Amino acid sequence: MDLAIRDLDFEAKVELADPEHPRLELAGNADGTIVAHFAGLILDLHHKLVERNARTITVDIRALEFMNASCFNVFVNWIGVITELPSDQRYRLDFVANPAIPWQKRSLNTLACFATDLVGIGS
Amino acid sequence: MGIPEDLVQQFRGVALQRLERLETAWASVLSSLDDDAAVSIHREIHTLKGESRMVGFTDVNMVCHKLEDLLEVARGRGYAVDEDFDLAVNMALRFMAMLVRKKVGAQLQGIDLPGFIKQIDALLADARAEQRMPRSTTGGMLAMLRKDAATVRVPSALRSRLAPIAIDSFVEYAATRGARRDRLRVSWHSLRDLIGVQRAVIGAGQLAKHRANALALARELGKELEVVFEIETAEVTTDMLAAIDAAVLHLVRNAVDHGIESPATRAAAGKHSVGKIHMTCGVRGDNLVVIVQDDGRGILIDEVVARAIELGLGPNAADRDKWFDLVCLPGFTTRTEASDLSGRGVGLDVVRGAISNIGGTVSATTSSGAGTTWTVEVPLPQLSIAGHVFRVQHVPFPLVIDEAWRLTETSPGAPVIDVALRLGLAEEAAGEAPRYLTNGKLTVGIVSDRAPQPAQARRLVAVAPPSFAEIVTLDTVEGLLIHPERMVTVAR
Repeated sequence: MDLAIRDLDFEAKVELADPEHPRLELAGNADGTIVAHFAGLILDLHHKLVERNARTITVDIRALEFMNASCFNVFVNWIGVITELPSDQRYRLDFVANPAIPWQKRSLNTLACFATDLVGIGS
Repeated sequence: MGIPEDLVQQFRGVALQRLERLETAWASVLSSLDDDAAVSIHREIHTLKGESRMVGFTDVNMVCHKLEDLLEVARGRGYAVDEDFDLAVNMALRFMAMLVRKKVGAQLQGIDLPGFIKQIDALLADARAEQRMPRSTTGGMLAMLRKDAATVRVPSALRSRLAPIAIDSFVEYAATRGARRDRLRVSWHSLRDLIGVQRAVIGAGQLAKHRANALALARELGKELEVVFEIETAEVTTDMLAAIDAAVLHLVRNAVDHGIESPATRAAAGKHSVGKIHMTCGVRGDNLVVIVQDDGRGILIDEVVARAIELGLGPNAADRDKWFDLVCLPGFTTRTEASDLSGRGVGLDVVRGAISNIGGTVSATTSSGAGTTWTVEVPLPQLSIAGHVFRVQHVPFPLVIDEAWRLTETSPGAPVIDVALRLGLAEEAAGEAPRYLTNGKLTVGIVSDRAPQPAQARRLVAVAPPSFAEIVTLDTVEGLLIHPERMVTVAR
């Protein structure tokens, strides 16, 4: 199945070609209309990352203008399932945020409190 | 002396259920300004605060305090909160769920409780500072709306608040002449673009892709599968289309992944090696009904209950009749392998939430070895209205009244509505003879110098009671759908 979502004003795309540097890029507006698709994509991505024994994934949200609470909860769930993995299978989420979009930093700082060892925030 | 383990376990189960209810109630308050849900939120969080203190979950107690502060601010704003605030409440609930689940006495590995509290405090400080600041000017608000209208989808609670303003904006624009009219048109169109009903068609064109995806997934999993889709076309809103599309995606995928067995397993069970998924989508009465049926292994309710007990999910866990609620809990899965994420429960909470947000329901029946049937029912919006069209002096747009109101004989003593006067478009009563209508319970007169004509109108901006008008279109002309019973009630 295709690891990508292209909605009217939301796009998610996964790059797994480089096994050392898997990457998820999100852009546009992530609201309630895409939450289920987004959750599905993260589930599939998680499978692939565990299969490939990934140590980290870059989550680039620099072009993500808006994300509602339901979509953001998908990140919380994602951290939850990574935490459930045996420690040698866990991987980190390294977020790349856009300093010009203030909600990103605020929300990611809160998200990092769920698992400081699994979440990195850069820009 | 420590707290007895059974008491802690009991607290854990009850607290997780309470948090689940809180999350649902919070979404309900934001989407529909549900008063009962608002009351229950404050009650539930207060109870959780007390219980967590009693069993020594001081971290949960601390987040409860902060959440109460957030909820007080939200209550003060009539629950018209922004996304940052919504997110903070959701995160606080999820954070508490994580704290509740952690083992007693375990270190807070990786969990930054002080950091989380600091984030909430910062948001509270901003919110309180904002309450003290003067409101921005109307011009600023409109400029913001114009800028955002093209890209922002408005939550239904905010939509409900903006709709009466849109009606005022439309009436002012339509009634104004000269240079001001252009400015008012921009305001009205900005609001219309922001909150107008976005129509969509649901049919094979939208849902057939899930059949191809199901077959592809079956191939990946080494399963043999026949997929039959029967899809009727129906007119819905874009919100409905997105929610149903997502529901079909998850339910079909779950059926392939977890319902349909491998050919060998099916053969051993005396079943045909090719599994079958049958999806129907069509209009039944006032609802759009989607049914996804598979002939797979069915949901193993004993496993669901056992897993729920293992997870300490409280009294419901032992109740086999509650299996459906259990599999719909966020993150619930009967799978124990750490690498298996797409267990039966993952995604079902999202499906139920998405369907609930558009006023629908999800239900399921299952039979061991024979398969599972999921049913999604969503009330269809009434987008088209057959009605009587009135033209009224001083009102520069058509007025529509639902055809459920029948024209009737002159009825002395019945209340008479002068719409031009009510909308402030005339300063004196027109003095014309009213046309009378009745809905069987109430008879009213509408002041109009011309006989009404039948017409089909389409909803553009829907407004809930007590507002007496909605905006509709007749071909390309915009007008007001008026509800005489609400006008009479308001007048009294």
